[in-house]
Amino acid sequence: MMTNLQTPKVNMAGRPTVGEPIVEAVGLTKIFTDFWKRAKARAVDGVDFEIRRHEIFGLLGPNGSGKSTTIKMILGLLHKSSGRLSVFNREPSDVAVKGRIGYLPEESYLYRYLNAQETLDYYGRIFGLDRRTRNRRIDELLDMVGLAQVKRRAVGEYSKGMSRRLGLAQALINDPELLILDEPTSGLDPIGTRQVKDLLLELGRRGTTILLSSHLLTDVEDVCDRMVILYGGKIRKEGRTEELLADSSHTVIRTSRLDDETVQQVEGVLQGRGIGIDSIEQPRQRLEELFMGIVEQAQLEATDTSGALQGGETAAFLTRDEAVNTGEGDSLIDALQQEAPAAAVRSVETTTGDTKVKEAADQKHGEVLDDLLAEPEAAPPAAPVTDAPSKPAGHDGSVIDDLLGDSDETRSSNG
Amino acid sequence: MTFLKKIWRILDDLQKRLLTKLVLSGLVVVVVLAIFGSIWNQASDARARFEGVVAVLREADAVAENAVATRLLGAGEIEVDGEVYGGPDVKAGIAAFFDDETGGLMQIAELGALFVAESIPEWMPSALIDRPEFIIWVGCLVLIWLLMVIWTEITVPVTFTILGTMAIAAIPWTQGYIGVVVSVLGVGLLVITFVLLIRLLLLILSGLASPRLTASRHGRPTVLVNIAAVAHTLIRESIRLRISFAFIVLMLVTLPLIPLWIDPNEPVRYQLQNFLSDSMSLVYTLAACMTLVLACATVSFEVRDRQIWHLVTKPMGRLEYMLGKWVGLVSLNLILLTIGGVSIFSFTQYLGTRATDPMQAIEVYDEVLTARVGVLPTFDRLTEDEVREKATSEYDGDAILRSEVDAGERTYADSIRSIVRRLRKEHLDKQRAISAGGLEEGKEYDGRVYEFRGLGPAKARGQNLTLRYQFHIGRSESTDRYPIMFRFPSSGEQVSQDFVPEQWHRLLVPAGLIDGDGTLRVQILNGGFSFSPSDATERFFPNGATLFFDPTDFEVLWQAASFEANFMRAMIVNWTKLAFLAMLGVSTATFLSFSIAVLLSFTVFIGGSMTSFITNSVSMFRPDVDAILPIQIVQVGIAWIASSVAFLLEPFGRASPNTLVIEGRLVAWSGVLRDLLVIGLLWSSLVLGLGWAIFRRRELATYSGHG
Repeated sequence: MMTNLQTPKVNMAGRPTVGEPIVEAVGLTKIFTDFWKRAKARAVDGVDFEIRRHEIFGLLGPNGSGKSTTIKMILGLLHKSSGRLSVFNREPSDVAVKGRIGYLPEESYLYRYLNAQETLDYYGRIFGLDRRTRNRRIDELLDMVGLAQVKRRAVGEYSKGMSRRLGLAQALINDPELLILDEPTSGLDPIGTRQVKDLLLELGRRGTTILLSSHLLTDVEDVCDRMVILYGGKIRKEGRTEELLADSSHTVIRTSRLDDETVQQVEGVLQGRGIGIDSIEQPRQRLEELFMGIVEQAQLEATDTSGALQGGETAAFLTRDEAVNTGEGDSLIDALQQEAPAAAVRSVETTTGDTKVKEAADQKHGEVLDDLLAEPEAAPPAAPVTDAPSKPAGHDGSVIDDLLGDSDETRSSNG
Repeated sequence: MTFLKKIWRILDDLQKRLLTKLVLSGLVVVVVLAIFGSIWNQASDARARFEGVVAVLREADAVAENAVATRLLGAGEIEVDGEVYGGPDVKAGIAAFFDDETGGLMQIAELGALFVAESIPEWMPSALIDRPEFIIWVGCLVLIWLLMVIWTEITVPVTFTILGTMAIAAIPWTQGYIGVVVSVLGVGLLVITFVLLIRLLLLILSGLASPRLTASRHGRPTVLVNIAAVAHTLIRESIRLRISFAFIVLMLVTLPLIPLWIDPNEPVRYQLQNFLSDSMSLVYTLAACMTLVLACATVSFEVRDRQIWHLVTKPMGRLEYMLGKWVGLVSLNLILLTIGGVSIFSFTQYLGTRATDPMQAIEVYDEVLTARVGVLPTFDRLTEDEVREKATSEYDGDAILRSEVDAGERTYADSIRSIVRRLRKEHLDKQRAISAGGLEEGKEYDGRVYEFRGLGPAKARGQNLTLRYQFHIGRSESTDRYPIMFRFPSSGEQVSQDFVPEQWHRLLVPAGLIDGDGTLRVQILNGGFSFSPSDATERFFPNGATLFFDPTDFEVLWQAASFEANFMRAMIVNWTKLAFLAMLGVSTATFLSFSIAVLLSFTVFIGGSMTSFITNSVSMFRPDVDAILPIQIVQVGIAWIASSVAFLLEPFGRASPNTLVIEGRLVAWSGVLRDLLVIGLLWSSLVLGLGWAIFRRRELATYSGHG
């Protein structure tokens, strides 16, 4: 593995620090016209945004809000009506920048008469990959997306999910700097969705800039660093995920199961401080976790299934640099190996998201906790079931994790 | 079925191993050498014996009563290198072959073949004895073909295809339909060869489309790599999509069946011409249809179904995309024309050997399997002064015409123009009319002399000429026959022939009759000599009417090149035209839907192919004077559009090499180069430029929102 010339800085979460903008839009407008050049629809209306290097950027909005139109302008499939748009400081139609972009459209518009191997081989050639590199990446990608067993079957015979997997593979074959995904989990089952999200997070950790467009809110929430919310072609909201979703008016304290008496005591303490309890309830497992657990159990029992397999390890070339003169790029493993040890598990999690705010809140509620913890020491808290896409209990140890040398402690801090 | 699949898979894996390929290659080399080597030995031996017999027969002299002639006449035998040929059967009729005057033998070649016939294997065709080296070429071709099958890893499917073809051919074989057997085997052979060539093409394109080294993490491949990659995928598309595969299969299956339609009772010359006409038209037309349909489909469907998004969002320029599609289509056409061309050529060579009669052989090899240049006679034209003088004189003398001009019913320019045209036509027509007679008692020949110029090369090569003519005479029936004489004034030679009006005739003319300046001068006498009982002499009797011919009905032809090279040039021209059609389809499909692009492309193709017909029709077109004015305007507009299109596409229509090949006429290199430059380069570039100019600015995504 080749050491990169530049090793980006990483933040506390092990992610490379956000860098300069690689996509900039200023006053971006797209007006569709009819044959007589009369305005038919204003799909994008004066939108300003930028996508910075190393971040995962979300484009949210209902159907017809301008998400896909914006993406198509970035890719040069549509021309802007007005405003400014640059990709890697060049015009979107510049062919030179296309080698740095990977694109998964909302539907997988693949050649029905080619098989998976031929499809990836074709696109790999267009990206200028030599035969050895191409063949290796094809094998790794097909294993990753679970299509290795059906690689010689014509794409026309694939299910929608299989086509989407292949679409994702072709978007990654060139190990892009900027990955643009339009509804990437469309057509995938929950396991596939989970794996795509894990992959995106992994790519994000590696430093790939990702533009994710979806109307599935959980997809965006689990993965994105920043997002814009579009409606009617305009930006309605923009900001970091944590900031947008933070509820600063409440505090959640997660403990092991408490008996009724303890609950009453806690309630009494809080009432003594004039704090009411809105609700006390048993937490629920997410449906996704339940589903994943069932499937993994079935896999362990080696139950037969047809169609695509559920995918394997992330392709090796996506998790490490290949022996090419990259000029730039990330060596996440190197970076992580050089970084400080992982932070300790936080026993209290608030929904503010900000580290400084967290610390202040911790201090404020320290006294309360001291009281609660005056009892004989309880069992250590379980790994928090956060909104971050950590793997559910019972899931096979991730190869990604092995490669990164992650421990449970560092994994929980990535949320 | 699973068992068969397993067997297939095992065999498939086996054929891909290097050891298997090496072993099979060695085996093939040994077998081919053994078989073809043996055939070549036998053919060479037969040739040597034949030449020995001919050499001995040349020595026979019945007048001098030499030993050879004596033994021939006495026992019907000759001895060559200790071997005796002939016998009592020969003795019975050998005397008729001796020339009474010279004492030598006539038709020595035929006699020689007769003598050696018994010693030659029955299966050996005479063509092989004539040219034994031909088998070496065939053997090399077979060897290369088999090695390509082995090393492109299609040994198993080819083997099964051969076995399957033989199984199908066994049915007509048992019924005695040898022609059907040959056709079925031909279908199998063409299919295998097509698969083989496609495989090779894919390998070549794959090699070109593979970057040598990934230059950088996000480098851009060369233009060649992108073009080859697109072409490679198009080849795959052509054999996997029904829309194009249907045309290919139709060609490969129908072509070997054409010989079944040939009437064996027809003269070989007409069999050949019919076969050439049907087969070359089939190959060209099917290839053109496939090209247009595939060119339009591959681009318009990718735009419609958005596969093109995956390409233009990668480092692929739109020009590279268009060129890649074009290269793929041109390569595919090259394969189809190669297969079709080789098949057609091979069968014509075989058909030519059916001409056993000497006259038939002359017809075949002098008029069909040849490449001749046609020269028309030179006619006098009116000078400008003569035209001016005659036209003004006629106008001044035509009071009715002058009054119409004065009244405004006609313009002076139109009137003069029609007079001039008529005068010129009449002047030429007069030269193509031959009055009855031409030889007056006691006077010189006063028949018109026609000059055919530019025959210097024919004279230099000693090439005999063919005088080809079709005359009309009065109101005649097709069963009438008229005497006619051709006289060559330079040498005084003359030939009498009988001709049937409205039918083509030929006269072989020795090259020696061409004058030193390369001109052949021919006098036509409209009549002939008949025996006059009154004075027991032969007298010249003129025919009862004037003889005339159309501008192209009297010409001299001479062989300027071989049929083989001529045929290849014709295929090059066809390929050039197909290349233009490919570019036309690709370019129109970049901005039109499939149906409109196909319609436009086929309109250009059909219009271009019929330019001469359109031009002639438009020249004779007149608007309907009884119709209302808007209708007349529309009619004139349509005529103007048609003539413009015909004018623009005239080079395409003029490039008709198939017709030339069928008529045994030369497809000149100058014409080939002209077509390559004009149609292949200039037109294709213009169409490409137009398509690219639109395509590069086209938004490939459409509005998919609400409102």
